[in-house]
Amino acid sequence: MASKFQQHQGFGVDAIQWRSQPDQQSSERTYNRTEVLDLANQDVTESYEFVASPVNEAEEIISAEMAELMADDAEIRQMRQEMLEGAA
Amino acid sequence: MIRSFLSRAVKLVSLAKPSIESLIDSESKIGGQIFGHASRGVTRRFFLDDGDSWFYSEKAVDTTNGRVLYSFTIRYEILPQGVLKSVDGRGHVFITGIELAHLKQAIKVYKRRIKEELYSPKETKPFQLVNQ
Repeated sequence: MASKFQQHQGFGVDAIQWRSQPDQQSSERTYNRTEVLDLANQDVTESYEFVASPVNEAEEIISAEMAELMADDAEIRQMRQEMLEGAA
Repeated sequence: MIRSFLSRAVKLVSLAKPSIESLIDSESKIGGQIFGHASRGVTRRFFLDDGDSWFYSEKAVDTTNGRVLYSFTIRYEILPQGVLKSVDGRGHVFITGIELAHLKQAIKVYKRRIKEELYSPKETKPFQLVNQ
């Protein structure tokens, strides 16, 4: 059975947090990459879920936000350009 | 009378071919309105320049004597890694949290309002460009 880590390694994250669903408070722990790679070779049951580290989540969010802002800027510049071309 | 005619003629010529500067100037006036009612003597401008930077400027003048009480300009530069803020050209810092959320919200409102009030084909009234 493929582990959750193997399913998600396409994210290319540097640190991964494995969280036990039944008791999130007591079993929560962050593993470094070496430990995660060790974990990846083990069979991980469905009782564990993959959670990307907060740092990487923040980078993903910022990237998406900047893309959205740049798209807004481009749309405004396009409106200006159309007005200028229409008046020419 | 001749002066009035010439003044109107100059305006019409400038309206026929708006420049990027005149468009940004008109946008900045609309942008300055989206942050609520400004107190008497306070002027606000908010706009996207011809590059990738947003500017918010505010100036307060004592209406009794014309003395400038305060004036500042905030620049928000949109970069791939974040929004870099500086005030009057100093204190560069990437903004996060509420400030970033508010900027994003302001840009959405700005885009909608200039589209409706300045660039909408049905609503476009050339005189708005200079007489606002």
